[in-house]
Amino acid sequence: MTAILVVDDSAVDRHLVGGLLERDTALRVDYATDGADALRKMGAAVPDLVVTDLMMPEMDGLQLVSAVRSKFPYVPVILTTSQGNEEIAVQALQQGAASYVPKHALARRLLDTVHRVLAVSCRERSYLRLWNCISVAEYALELDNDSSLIGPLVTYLQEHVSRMGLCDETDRMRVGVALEEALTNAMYHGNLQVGSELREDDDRAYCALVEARRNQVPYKERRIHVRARLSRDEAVFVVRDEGTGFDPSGLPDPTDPANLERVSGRGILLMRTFMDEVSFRGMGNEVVLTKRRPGGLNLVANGR
Amino acid sequence: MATILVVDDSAVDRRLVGGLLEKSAVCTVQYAANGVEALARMKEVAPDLIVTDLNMPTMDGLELVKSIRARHPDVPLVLVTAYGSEALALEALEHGAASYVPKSQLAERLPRTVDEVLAMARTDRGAKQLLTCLVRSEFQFVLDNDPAMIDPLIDLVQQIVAGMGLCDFTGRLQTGIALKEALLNAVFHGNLEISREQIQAVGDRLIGEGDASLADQRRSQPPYCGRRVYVYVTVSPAEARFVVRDEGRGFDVAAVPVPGDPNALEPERGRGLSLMRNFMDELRFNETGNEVTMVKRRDDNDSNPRG
Amino acid sequence: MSDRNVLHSELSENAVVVVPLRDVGSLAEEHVRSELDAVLTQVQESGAKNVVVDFAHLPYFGTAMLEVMLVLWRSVRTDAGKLAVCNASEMEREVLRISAFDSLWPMCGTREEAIETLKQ
Repeated sequence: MTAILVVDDSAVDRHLVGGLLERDTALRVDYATDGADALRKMGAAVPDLVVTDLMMPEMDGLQLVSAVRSKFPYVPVILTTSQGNEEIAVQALQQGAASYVPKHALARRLLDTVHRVLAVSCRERSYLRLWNCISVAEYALELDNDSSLIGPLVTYLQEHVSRMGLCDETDRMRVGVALEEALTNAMYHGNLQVGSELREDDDRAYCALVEARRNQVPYKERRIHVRARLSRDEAVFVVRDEGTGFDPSGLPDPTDPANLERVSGRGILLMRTFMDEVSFRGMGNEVVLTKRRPGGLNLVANGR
Repeated sequence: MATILVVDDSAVDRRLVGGLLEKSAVCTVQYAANGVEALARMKEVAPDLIVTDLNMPTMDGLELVKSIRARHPDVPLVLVTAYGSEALALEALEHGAASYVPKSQLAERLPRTVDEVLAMARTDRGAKQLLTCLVRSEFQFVLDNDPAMIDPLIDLVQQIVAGMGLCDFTGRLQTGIALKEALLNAVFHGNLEISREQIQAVGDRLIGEGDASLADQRRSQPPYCGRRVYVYVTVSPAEARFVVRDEGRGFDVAAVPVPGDPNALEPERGRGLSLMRNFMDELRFNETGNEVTMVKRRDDNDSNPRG
Repeated sequence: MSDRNVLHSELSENAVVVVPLRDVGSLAEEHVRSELDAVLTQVQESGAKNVVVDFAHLPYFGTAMLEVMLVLWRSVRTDAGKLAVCNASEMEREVLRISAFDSLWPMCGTREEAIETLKQ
């Protein structure tokens, strides 16, 4: 049985919507009188889908959509709109409502829309459950020195770390910052060999040099090799550039007051702080970052 | 520098929108007077974004939205709506337009809306570009005997295979079918020890709705409930390799009937194996018969097996 | 200014308030460079003495943003101007603390507090 929550301040409309839905015997309908009531009911038992009117006292449909999106992100919301509410309906769609049905078309379109939205959300939830069945995920990528790849790669890896249950929202951001530092270092310091001393003295010359090197041999042919291996216990990222390497112990200590105004060394400091382990291999052009699941070992989902 | 195509049947409105865009952002603006003209222009060079009026003769905004989503799915659309056409705007949004701005609020909202939509499109492109940098992908799955996990697993694999450019649409389809057969075998024949004919299969649904089928029962009974299916997937630009292992008692591969055999007791099994053999470049079982290895090679390597 | 994607800025009393809208990947990216230049020009032409960096619209950043802040700081330092930070998230405060920049730049709660602090 699929549970639907119908939210409307008008008893007549609730009855109408509920009646239409109950024609499908696989659906079970519950009711709420406004947004606040809906959230209370959802706290007690999470429905598979919410159908809500837009205009209600206390907490209107728009606020409900936002609230549901943040508290129950996997529950889709369908709006019913009277004539004249279209602008707000658009806002609600942009804020995350799944679909809408004008009140005058309820009889014709409500069940169809509900079925469609349920099918999609079911697929998405299955996809999320699939991630619980993954015991190891590994990716190997090769990037050229295009800085526009770094953002998407960091987001991609962050999502995976999240999906594998290795970190919460805050940790996710920290992992993202650490990865961005590692990739940026690999690209600018490593492959393009543009030292940070130049960046500090004259940042315009730094930019010009970066641009020039991107198109020069041997720098332009160098690649960044990224390997990410995620298990349920930890995520290990290896970032290797094809530059000439460096000596990490040769970096100035950024916390030394004498070095206060220099940026070099801070990237690695951030990496060390936000990851559980950071080590350099090879000639310093390969860095290994490890993020462990907080709280110790976790058995494989479905495993023994 | 972004290129924006402005579509409007009124020359005055075209200039208004175009001028607004050029003033507020660094971009090149192109113009079209209606949907048909817009599509024709896009045949040569696709813009980064389209701003279109909703009510136009020849081909109205909604038609244009549908056409663009079909032919140029990467190009986002922003609609401009006159007072009274909000319902139409909503419908266009349902059909895939990215956003809309009422004509009365053009100056206040268009530049910001265009910025946001372009940023989102950039993010999507970034993700696609990233897939082309993928050199290897490996997954290990541990499945309990829930057939609902099979389709999502196939989807994930097909996405990766598509990203690596291993094979064309048909190749991916065949890979998906073969993998599905292997997974169904592992779950039903292998772990649950049920033949496929014993299950009420309706299309792709494998557990009867509301019907306490044998599969449902067995999934919660020992020893079946403790059995798992292990799936190993490795995809590289040269090949996709799959290993599926169940914890059942195995079977005698040689004894499986060929399809069409009138004496076959389990014709489904023969058919399934035949599909796997045909769709994969390599197929082999371990001795017990509870582990299958399948390899699908890159299309152009078909005639040159790895040695 | 709707043409800014990364660094919004506005004049407030005797300070230029810089509001980062997105994290900065690298100072070498052209659009970052040009927006930073626009802010520096604004500082010069307005004669503002101080810079406030307001993180109300950005929840986290990396070392590239620190570099941007260093450039901003240097631009007012020559005339004994100062830089203050406000509306930083917990993680951002952590980054500034770890990198020891919190000893250079005061961390304030609100924008008003930051502007007041710099007046002294």
